[in-house]
Amino acid sequence: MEKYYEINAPAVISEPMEDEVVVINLDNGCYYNLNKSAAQVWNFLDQGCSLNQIASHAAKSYPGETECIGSDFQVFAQRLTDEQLVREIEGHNVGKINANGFDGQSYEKPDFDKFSDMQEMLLLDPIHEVSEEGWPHQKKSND
Amino acid sequence: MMVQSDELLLLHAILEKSDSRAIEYYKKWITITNLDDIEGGSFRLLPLLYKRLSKTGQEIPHIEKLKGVYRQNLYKNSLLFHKFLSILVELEKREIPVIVLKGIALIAAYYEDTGIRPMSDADFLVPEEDVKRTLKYFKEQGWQERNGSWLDKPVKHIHSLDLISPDHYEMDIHWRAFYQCPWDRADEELWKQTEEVSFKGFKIKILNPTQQILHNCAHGLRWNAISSIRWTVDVLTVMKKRSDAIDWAMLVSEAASRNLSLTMSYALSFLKNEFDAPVPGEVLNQLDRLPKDSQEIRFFRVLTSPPNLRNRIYKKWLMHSNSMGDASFLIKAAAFPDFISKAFYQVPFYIRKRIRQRKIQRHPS
Repeated sequence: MEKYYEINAPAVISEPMEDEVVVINLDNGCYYNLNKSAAQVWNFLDQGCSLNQIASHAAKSYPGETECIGSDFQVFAQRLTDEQLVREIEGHNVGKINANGFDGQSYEKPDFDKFSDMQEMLLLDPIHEVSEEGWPHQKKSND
Repeated sequence: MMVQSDELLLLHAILEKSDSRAIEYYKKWITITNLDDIEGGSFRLLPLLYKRLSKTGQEIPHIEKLKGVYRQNLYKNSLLFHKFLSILVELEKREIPVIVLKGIALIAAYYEDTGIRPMSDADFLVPEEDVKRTLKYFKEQGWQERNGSWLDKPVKHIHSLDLISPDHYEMDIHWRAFYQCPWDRADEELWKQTEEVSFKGFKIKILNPTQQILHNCAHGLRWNAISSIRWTVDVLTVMKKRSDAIDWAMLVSEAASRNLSLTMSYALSFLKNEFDAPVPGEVLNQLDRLPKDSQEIRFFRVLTSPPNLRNRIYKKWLMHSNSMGDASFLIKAAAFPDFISKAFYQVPFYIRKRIRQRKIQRHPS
């Protein structure tokens, strides 16, 4: 069965940043950094594509990964739903997969990092207290 | 206002059109700047720097750190907009007109990028006649005055009140748009010339491009403990985005009527000479030719210099004198003690507490 999702606006906002997407839940202050593959799935969901549509498209880009793509995407969509970042909707096929999308170089499981301590994120010094990846990744004590 | 040489390199790295020259300026800047010990004013420009350099597609030293600063700012601003746009809805319900000033207005209408410009607070201008009920609303919501006592109504010599919410958001409620112009009806024209823009699903009222340039120059040139060089990028962004909508004749006449001709002349000449800003030469000539009385010159000097005790008192006198318009010196002098006593509202609470304690120690009974 086709599953459609929509972003849980206005509480949830997302901003594209180069090859990642930043998602913020304004109601609880949680911050999510989506990896490249997750960012692609997120963008297609936002454009009204179904999860199956996106998975089929990804499978064409990564023919050797067809089996795990379906289950990875299901798990990812469930995690987004559990985090209340998206909600499942009664949908119809309004989204169209464009030619751009998964780059086919190497498959990466869609994933995100979650940062939930708003106070810590606001106070974290983005120059001195962060790892090489930059804010919000904290420097480890042995860095 | 003195722009330091390292700040100029940073500004050029942000504003330079050519990618290779932007990177060149950045590399020069980073060799003389210790990112670990960066000055606050330059720090506030790092999200803009990140955005400029990321467009080059080149490998840039420290880019992940700059990206992190941008990310954090995106996060902070998103929370801030969420908070303040809901406040605007509440004020609208109460039929309190608001002009959104500074950061939010610039991001909404000009930068169109949530993370690009750091903001520590929101700045709302409300008509003087609505200030009383505006402050009442915020008091009821648990907001407190950041630096001194709570005011129940606008005071002539203060142009705004700094508030802090129970959840630590900060906001300035202005009843005068310009610090330098404390006289009655100073903002009458400004209220007639506002623009409405859509921002995150809300309609907000902001200054038109001409007034935006005036306001950002007048605010930016004032001395600040944290270097306020970002006014240059703000004003150049307004000029770039809305060059057709700038009414230069109005800018000159507003500068004259607000006693800001020296400020505007200095600011626009700097932008034209250093960054080739599209300011017509005739506008600079007109600003130069405008008569500048001694009071305007003194006020400009005081506002653009680091404060000391003498400066502070002198600044109060000039504010007071400006607010009384053409009244004679004797009348102004007679009213000054009252003005100063009202300025007591601006003394931070911990100093007032100490003064009270000393009084009690001296007069225990």
